[in-house]
Amino acid sequence: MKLVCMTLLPLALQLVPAARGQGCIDKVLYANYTQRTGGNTVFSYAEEEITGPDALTYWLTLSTQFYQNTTQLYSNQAASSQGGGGVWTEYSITLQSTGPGTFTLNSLNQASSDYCGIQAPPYSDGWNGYATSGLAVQQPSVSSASPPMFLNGAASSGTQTAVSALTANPNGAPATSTITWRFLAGSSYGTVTCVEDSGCAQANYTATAPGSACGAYDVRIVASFDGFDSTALWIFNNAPQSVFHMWGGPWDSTNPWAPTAGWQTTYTYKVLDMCSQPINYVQVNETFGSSSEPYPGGTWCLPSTNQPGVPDTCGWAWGSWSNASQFDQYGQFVDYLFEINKSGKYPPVIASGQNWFDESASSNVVDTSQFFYAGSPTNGQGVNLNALVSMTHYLDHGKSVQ
Amino acid sequence: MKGFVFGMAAAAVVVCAPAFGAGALLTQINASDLIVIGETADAGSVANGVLSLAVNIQGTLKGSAPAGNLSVHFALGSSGPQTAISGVAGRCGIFFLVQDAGQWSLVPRNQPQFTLGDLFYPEGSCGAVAAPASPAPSADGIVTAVIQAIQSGTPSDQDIIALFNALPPADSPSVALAAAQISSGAQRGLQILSLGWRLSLGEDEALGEVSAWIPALNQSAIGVILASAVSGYTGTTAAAAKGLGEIAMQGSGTGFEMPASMALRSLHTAAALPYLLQLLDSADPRVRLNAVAGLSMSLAGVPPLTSGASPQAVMEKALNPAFRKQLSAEDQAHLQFASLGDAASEAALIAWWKIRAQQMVAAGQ
Repeated sequence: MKLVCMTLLPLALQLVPAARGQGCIDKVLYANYTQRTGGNTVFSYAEEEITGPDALTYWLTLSTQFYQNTTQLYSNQAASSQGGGGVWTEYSITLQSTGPGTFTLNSLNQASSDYCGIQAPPYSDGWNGYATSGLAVQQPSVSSASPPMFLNGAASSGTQTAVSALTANPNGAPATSTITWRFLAGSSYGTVTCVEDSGCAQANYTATAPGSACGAYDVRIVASFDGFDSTALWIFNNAPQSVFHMWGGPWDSTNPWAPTAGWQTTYTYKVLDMCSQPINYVQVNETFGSSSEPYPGGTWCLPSTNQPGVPDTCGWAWGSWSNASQFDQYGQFVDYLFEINKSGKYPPVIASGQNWFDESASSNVVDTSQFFYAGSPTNGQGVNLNALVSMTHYLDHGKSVQ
Repeated sequence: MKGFVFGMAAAAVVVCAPAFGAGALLTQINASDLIVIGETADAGSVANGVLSLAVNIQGTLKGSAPAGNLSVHFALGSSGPQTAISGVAGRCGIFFLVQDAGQWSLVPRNQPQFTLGDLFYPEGSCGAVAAPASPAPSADGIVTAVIQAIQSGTPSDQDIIALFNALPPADSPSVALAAAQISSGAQRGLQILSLGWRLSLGEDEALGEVSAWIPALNQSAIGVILASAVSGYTGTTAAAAKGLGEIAMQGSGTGFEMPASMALRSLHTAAALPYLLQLLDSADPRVRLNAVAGLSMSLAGVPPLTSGASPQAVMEKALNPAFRKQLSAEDQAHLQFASLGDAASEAALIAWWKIRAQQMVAAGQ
């Protein structure tokens, strides 16, 4: 708070005629206002002056009280020496220190002149010498268009985005305020960058790490207007966490291509987030771990021989579910396990709907492990879904076990 | 595991792909330069990973077809069949094509997982679907033709599943019409397709019809239609809760307890509470977690998950400390959405929720 008496400012003072005693026609001028002078400051000012032929005969006193809501922050009583002129008081407060609220300046303007026979108010025209001004100050706020989804490097994937568009809402702060963003907590979980040409009124938050748990709002961000912080925006960095086997299994391994070509087993999956909620649509890819080929004769190819995205001569290719048409309206995707006739491998003829359910060691042709990732179309990139799936191909069907 | 990889067709498919929400069939329609009703005129041949075959065009749904048989191609990739595929000749259906470098390529309906059925939507018999007179039909008209083709014969379960996955009811008014018109005397797969579409449309009474199908669908691939539609059901009426609850109460062995519990978890209505309470005793730990999570969401005041809403955005309203509902410390401590913990923790959590859920049911909370 600053309290300064100074030369009268060129203000639009209100003019009130003083009482006319003994022929005096002098007038009292006063001002009282409270205004926002910056994002972080409120300035309040009261002033009293007297003008007229006999102004030099007056004593002026100005009593002020400055309130935040109903709490008096400051008060002052200023008096002039006899001889007219003026008296004034000003208060300047820092909002970051006081917080938001309704700021009120009350003033009592008094004047006396023995010469004019005026010892105290009231003044004329019904004015009782009191003046007041006030200003309601709201704290700025920050809003987010959508909660972020950590995608381990990608800005977006499917309908999910790691980037939340943030808006700093001034709530009355001057448009000239300098806006800066900062973390109150959780700076290791993300980054904030201002949107170009927005004066930082718009910013992007990017999740760079998954939250510590479901519903853990590890991150708190504020936008500061000239140093006056907004209310905090709480952010939970959700993330894809698992795949959920919705339906399907080693049944109905129908022939996908022709009666003699091989078999196909389907599994339908959902991707779940850290709160085990389904995600509408996020890109998924897979990789395979080391494999073994227990089938006698060893003529069936192994999945480990292929490269990401490049199928080997045995028909193994690492999958990538990377566009919307590969997901149904419930955000589910289908993984096909299949074997077809190739040189050196001859899956048996299977009629539609028929499955031998033979899972004996002698019909086990390939054992491997399958890993799913979400948030990227590139095999092995994105968020590891912690889904070690044991996958086995038998002579007549495939089987995945989570 | 990914299916066959294709080159030519894939390069032309991703054109004007609609945003998520539009199904693969509309994507396929938009991506095609030419859509015809036709019959495969030969058995085709495979060379260098490309299937080539002739299609006798019997009608045009989109574009301008050249006269005579049309030579079409499909890139199977190096992982595809290396010799001619049997069963291709004499097949009738609706073919989606793009012109690329002077030749016509098939647009698969379910990329990149290729099956023979991906080449076209089959008709029950050649000529079952007639091309409408000019002008060319709209996308909805083409959808109608595809549905007519599927209905005209005895499609395989794979064909029906593919159509259900590719054609959400929101894409076309023809779907609701077809769903209502498929009779109880139709082929089993078509009845399930109709029921799945009605569930997707949010018809509460359709939930009551699911239970009758459950015994026949256990370990059946086509059961995925009803399992998906049940798990994603977003109706919030008391009838919806009752229908889902009755499906869930049929038990873990049916394969439907889990999907129904997923939907019940997202309802957050008082009518769902008695069923969630019972599911705390499920033999399936995933179902027990859904029960706890659903009860937690109700207690936390999470709004219902309506159709098309993001589950993550809905959860935000319950969890964000800035505006979440104020709960007692005890209630807050028992909210759980993601994990039941170890056996001892789960036992304590389930026991607490059984008491709390009864209070919630009594209060109609």
